[in-house]
Amino acid sequence: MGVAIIALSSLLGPRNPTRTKLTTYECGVTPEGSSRIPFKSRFYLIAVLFLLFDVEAVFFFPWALVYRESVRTDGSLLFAMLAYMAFLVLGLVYVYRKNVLETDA
Amino acid sequence: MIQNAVESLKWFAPEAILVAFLVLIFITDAFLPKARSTSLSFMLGCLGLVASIAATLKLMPLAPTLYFSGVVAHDGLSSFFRILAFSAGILGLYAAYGSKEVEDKYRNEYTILILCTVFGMSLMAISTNLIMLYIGIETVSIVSFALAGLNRESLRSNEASLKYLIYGALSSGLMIYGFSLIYGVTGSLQYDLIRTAFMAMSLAEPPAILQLAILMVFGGLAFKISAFPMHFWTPDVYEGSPTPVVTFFSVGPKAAGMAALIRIFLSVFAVKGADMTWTVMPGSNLVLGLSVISALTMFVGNFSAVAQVSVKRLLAYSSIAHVGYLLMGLVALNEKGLVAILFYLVVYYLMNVGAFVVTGLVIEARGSDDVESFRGLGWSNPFLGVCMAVFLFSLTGIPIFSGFIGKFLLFGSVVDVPGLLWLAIWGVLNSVVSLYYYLRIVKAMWLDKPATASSQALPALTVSSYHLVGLFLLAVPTLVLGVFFSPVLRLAKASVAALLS
Repeated sequence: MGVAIIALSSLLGPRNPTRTKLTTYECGVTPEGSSRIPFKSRFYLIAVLFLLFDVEAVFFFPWALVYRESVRTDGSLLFAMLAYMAFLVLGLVYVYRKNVLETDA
Repeated sequence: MIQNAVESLKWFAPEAILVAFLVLIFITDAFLPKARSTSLSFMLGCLGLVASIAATLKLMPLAPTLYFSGVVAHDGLSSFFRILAFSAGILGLYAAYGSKEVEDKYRNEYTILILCTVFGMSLMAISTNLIMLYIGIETVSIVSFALAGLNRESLRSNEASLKYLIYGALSSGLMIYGFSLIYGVTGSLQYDLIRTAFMAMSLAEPPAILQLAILMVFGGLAFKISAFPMHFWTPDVYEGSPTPVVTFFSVGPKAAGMAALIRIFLSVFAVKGADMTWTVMPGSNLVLGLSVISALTMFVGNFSAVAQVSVKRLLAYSSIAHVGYLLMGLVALNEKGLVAILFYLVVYYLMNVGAFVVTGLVIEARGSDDVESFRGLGWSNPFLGVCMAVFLFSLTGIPIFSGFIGKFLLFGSVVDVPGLLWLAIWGVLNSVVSLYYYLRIVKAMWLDKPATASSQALPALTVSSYHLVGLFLLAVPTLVLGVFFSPVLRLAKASVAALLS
């Protein structure tokens, strides 16, 4: 069925390609030049750091959901998350001290 | 089984101490000027590893248990492999101290990366859960990629790192796909529960998907221990990476991989039988498969080493061959085989690290690791020559050296097993081949006189007292364990006891 639909539409469908239609973002800004250009490795570092801290923040959501339940029985969950946050902060301090966050370096 | 996370921490003390020291090193590196922080971080690293070993020894006599809700285990095997992992860290730091191959500006990073890898290695050794194992393996792998590329300006180092990364990504992708299939078939990630599920199934004819899953999991682990057919990254990575890093790679992650393999093989795919043996899942052909892999690993390692000119590549292929020998202990599926693996790993640590350290010294002084660079080393530096000869003879497995006892135990464990005698014979034949290429280095060192003509003379090699002591401490046990080996053997026996009870 699926194959038939795809085959039929490619056989019967009208085709009228224009230059604008074939661009990567049909309704966006017109692309200029090649995308394979050298760019500062700093962007790469920032991207990696963003990924790291962003993904690690994901762990906070399930924690927030079960926190109210668990805090009634014992408080260990709070300290677990505090320890986790301490590691994150240490990472941030390390990155800061290593001048990764300077934009003009 | 201990469910509570806080109570579990007591059992996790060795790793926790390691992480605490890691944090200290991070702070040192971030806040102190480089000139002062390098030696401090090096000392903190050593201290942390020693403290972790002490914590492991303290936990050792306690009864085996599972903790953190069963994802990790405390037993003899985990203690043994934890100590191996921490010692690998110490040896890695030892090899790098004073080495010019690790640039001064990356020394702190080196210490940090080694400690991170060690942490991952000990996780691999203690995990009894597929996800936990995966986290351990990834911790080791990702940090190893960075370690291989430590010298950022060196093209060779970058190449090694990239090759390692690409092969590593492929193998860990394979492995986690295998894990997901196992989870799909059994509905659990916990080793003991997976086995229960396997037992409940009719295993006369295991589902094809399970065969595929097993193949994938073993493929991933084979990459970590560099067994055939996932061995081809080893020579390239060893050749390109800085020698201290290779010293560490050649022992640490391999031992951890063996630990993971032993655990997975014996507690997931095999059932304990009578009189200290295991029976593997019927119909899975695991024993045949692994023994063929073992035979091929030896074959490929030894025969490729024969043709090598670079000693680092030669030792890389020889380390592949040694993995082949180690796998023999696993397919034997009896207590003797396991004890032999543990014993052999200890011996392998000593002799392989020793051989790589000497190679590192030669590379530093002479700028090349060709066999030719070893020419006349025994005459110009008798101490270095004797040490290297001891390590190489031990690697070959010549009597009175500890390598002989290790190989004797390994081959002996498969001899009794019906249908595996061919593997023992194959192993012995392979050892004979290995004699050739190890002796090539010994010949270059002792039988070839140093060139007298000044045009051919190799640069002089001076050994610091630091390395004199270090190599002495590696060479003496290599010799002594060949004669007086019962304490280590007893320790190995005690370590596998929990798996058997």
